[in-house]
Amino acid sequence: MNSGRAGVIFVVGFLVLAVTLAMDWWAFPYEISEVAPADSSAAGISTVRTSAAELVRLDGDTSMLACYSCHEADDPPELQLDADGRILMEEHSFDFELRHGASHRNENCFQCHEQSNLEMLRKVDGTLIPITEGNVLCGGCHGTTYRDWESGLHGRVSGYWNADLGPQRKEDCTACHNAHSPAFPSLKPWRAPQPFRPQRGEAGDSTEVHEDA
Amino acid sequence: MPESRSSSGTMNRRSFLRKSAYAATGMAAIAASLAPLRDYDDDISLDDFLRKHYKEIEPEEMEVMLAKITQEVEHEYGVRPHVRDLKPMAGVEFVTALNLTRCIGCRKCVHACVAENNQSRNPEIQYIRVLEMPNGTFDVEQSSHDYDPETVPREGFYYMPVQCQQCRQPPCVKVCPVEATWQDADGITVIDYDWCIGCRYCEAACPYWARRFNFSKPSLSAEDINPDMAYLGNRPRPRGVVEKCHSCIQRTRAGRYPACLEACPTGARKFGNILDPNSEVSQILRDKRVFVLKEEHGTRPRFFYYFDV
Ligand code: SF4
Repeated sequence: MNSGRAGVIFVVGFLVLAVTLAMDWWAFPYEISEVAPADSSAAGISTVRTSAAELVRLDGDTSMLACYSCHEADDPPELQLDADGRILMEEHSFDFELRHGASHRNENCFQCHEQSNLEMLRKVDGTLIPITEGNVLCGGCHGTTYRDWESGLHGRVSGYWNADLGPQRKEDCTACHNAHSPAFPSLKPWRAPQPFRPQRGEAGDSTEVHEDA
Repeated sequence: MPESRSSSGTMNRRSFLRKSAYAATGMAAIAASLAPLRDYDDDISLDDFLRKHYKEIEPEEMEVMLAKITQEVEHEYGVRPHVRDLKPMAGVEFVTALNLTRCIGCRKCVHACVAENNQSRNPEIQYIRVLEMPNGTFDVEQSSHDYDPETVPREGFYYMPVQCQQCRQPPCVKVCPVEATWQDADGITVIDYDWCIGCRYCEAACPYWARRFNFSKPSLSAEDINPDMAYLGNRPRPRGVVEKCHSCIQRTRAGRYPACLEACPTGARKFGNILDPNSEVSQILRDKRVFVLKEEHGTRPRFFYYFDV
């Protein structure tokens, strides 16, 4: 009689297990929240801007580099300063923000550009170099960063880590930094990950941690 | 129906019927519970079932397997892939370094990784999770991974991308009951997707939450497919197996940089051979103050974070 009861318990137990498994597999397919299609632009390796050197390499529009298409060659421009001694930019034919260095330390055109030859850059030691070779000019002040850049520690690289198998490509300083306002620009973030489980509550829940913190 | 007899004594008609009914119900239940295995008919052939462990596969056998994968991918997605079985290079140990001062949390690396490595698009599988961390703390409990401001970085936060740390003492490898995952000579912990039984022990063991499980068949369209594939790398995975960052084996074992590094707009990611004293990562480990995540676990990651100016 005892073995009979054990048999019943066994079969019932087994049945429960089987039914649970079967329901798990068929009866309740879990819902997956919809996601926006993948953004293939993320895989691109282009830089946030184009350096002067790259523009020349790519045969792009270099009119911005032809200073003497507007300026007179034998009439070096004078700087217009405001009451605080800061440069007035309105005069200039194209708009840009000048924000280089803490406390406006490097906001004088002729600390980098040569006054008598606007198409050349002037290194701290006075030597003139073409605009397309600007990296070394940046290195004149940002020595440690330049050292890191030279050995691939600072800045973007692509291609091959193994020089025996292929070339490595390194980007110019101005492929990421605008020399006139070098801080790296803010970007719109790529899409957040799909939620793990159906979301409960308000959409803003995820930022709660930050508000508490 | 004649009365049946058993060694333990006579069995009357009623008890026989009752037991038969139990047995029949039991058999039906077994059949029902096994029925989903029918779905696997397409996925698993007898050859697959009887194959050897990766480390015992002869080169000729691997050729056959690669040809089969090529065929299957072409059949499934209409794209003919180039599948290779890339081995670790001699004298190479890979290390990743990530400059937290540079990272702006844009998640470009996350999506570049998905595109490179043929991850399922829905349900979405991603190998990299970027954590938005309040300034002044390393407490990941205070982080958020679904931040979505207009632009990043946000004032008052820094961003810490987390992915497989390619540990020297990988807990995931230790717990795998079938040796479907192991650490290769170049320091990459790999998974043989065809050997994985889907027990998810490794997923539970990983303190970095690096491993992902394919609850359903990965959804990939023909346009999504990256045809440059490696056996232990980004070939499409079946349902029911675990996957994770493998440092882009299909690229890095061929000398190239990983996809996340190339895509990163800020150059925050560095990767290379730590055994080469002139590599970027060797210099970083020498010159910068690097740290590893959850050092107290003794996992000894090959993934280093640092800040610089
Ligand atoms: S792409 Fe670069 S900057 Fe953007 S989140 Fe990834 S590591 Fe950070």
